[in-house]
Amino acid sequence: MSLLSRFEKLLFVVAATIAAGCSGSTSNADDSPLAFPHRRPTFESEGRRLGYVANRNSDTVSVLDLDAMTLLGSVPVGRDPVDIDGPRHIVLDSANALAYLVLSYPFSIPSVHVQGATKRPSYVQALNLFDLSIAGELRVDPWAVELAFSPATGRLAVSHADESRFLQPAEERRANLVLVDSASAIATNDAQANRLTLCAVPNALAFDSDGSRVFVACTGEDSVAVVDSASRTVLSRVPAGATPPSQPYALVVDPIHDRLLVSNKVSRSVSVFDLEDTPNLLSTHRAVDEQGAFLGYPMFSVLLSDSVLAIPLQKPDGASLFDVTTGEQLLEVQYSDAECVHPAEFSLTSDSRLRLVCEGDQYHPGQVVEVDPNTLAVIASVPVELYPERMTILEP
Amino acid sequence: MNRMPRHTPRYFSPSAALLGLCLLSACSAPVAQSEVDEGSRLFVGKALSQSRLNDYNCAVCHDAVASNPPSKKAGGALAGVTLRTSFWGGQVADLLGSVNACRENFMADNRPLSPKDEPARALYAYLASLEPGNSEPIPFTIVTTIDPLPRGDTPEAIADAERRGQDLYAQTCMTCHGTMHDGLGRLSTRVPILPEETLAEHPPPQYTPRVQRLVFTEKIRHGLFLGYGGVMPPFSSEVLSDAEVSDLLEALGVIGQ
Repeated sequence: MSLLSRFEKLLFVVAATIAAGCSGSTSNADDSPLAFPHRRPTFESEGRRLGYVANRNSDTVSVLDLDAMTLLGSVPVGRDPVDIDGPRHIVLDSANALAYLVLSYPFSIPSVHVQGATKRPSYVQALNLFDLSIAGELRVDPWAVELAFSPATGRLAVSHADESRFLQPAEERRANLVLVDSASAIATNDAQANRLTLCAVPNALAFDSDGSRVFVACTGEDSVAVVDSASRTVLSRVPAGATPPSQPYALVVDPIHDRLLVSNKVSRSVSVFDLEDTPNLLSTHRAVDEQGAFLGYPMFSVLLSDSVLAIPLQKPDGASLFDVTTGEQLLEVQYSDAECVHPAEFSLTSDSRLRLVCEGDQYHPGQVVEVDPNTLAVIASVPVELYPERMTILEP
Repeated sequence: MNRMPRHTPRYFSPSAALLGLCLLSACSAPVAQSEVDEGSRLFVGKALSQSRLNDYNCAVCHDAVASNPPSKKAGGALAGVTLRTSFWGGQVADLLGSVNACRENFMADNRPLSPKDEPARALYAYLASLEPGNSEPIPFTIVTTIDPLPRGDTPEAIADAERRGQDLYAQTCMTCHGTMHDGLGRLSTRVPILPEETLAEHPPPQYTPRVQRLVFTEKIRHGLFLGYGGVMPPFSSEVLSDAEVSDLLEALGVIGQ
């Protein structure tokens, strides 16, 4: 007869296994039951197109299933648990399973009851893509508003639209462009912010396809600046439009069609450039109504084909289609408040579906809507949160 | 021979039961209890922060278990916090992030704890020991716009407000600021004696009595946030109503005149 019965042996094995599992809590922290178990919502692609929208006035990021046009969830982001962090834009680094989010602190004006307070610095945070939890962060300059990421080089660029600098003497008006050579290092708090004093009130920016150059809309100088992202030198500055003042704000690089689209607020025009080191202005487009009056100011546009340009318009809210080869305005639509308040950015996905981010009035939820590419009619809508402006898309 | 049914004796083998009990008891209870004990020490001590500038512990702002009527501490009771999925009025989505926000903003330690850190494990063990508690998010509404708060309009109403304010001072302010006017028992000399030292930091003529009343109101409502600075926690509208803030100001003699 064996010393231990078969069942006793089995129980011993089970108990020893349990004990081994528990022993980590006494001697090995890595094996111990996890403190603070994960309870955040997670967002897996699972073959779907996901849209990531930063909601500036509610301190959240919304994640959408763009195929089904449904909201998967909205999660709080930022580093201040009370103040508005002002997340402006989120970009994706899917190779490293990260997202980068810029926090602009738009309302962080020091209390009138405090003397000697200074402007609050902005931050870029690296978020874990699957649950948008904070992995690390990088402090940048105040009023960081836009960022761009190059998957080709791993570089990140951040613009600072510090309008208060515009009131300074001319030599102090220019704000910094921050370039981070290895953006994933933000996740380990090891990133280096390399500063290039660039131009007055830089706003939207975008890398070219190989990440070697970054194009920046310089709102305060009516120009577009082209920067060599490796050497951090300015390659060129060109007027943002044919008829100044232009006040460029939105900017899109379309590597497929080899075009740069710059939207000008004051001239209410979209300037179409090529992507040379010194971009050449190819055409200018301004939406007008039947009486020839200018319509709203343009935001982030998109080329639907080699020739068709879709422009979102604000105040009045609508959108238009242009033939960039002939300059002909093909279509102009107005959106009701129920359809889209303050259209901000068109995005075309690989399945040729067109989405539009609608900012809302900043105090009520904005939307992401699907728009028919031919008629620009709204065909589906998903509410997000307060003051979205842009969406970044993760293709499956 | 009288035999037991074929399958039963093995399940009740004394040696096997003893073996299992020994192993299970050796592995769980004492260790978990030591972590709970360490966590409870962290809850009431300063060791959750490595900063020498820290004057706080968790218990300054949080009760472990909710009381009835609810306490006037700035933060919610923590029993059930391990079951919640939203913190800081919905601005933080995970508990450790919430703890780290407290450590950074109030306890002067901006090095976030990870779930594997010993203090984090101990604190979690203690918080989990408080379950079930309240698993719902605690309402936490920050009053962003600071408006002048009215006083009572009769001598009797003002006297009543002052009495209520004295009680509220004992519940909300005294733990950190010590006794009114002399600061006895305050957390540290960095914490101002109320109201004298705060009034001295906001002297006339830059600060009129009306503005001084606004300063106190803003400090109570915003704490260190929304551009003010310092390390004071904000008191939400759920913890203190406007009328209660007005009562506090009456007791402090910050009447705006």
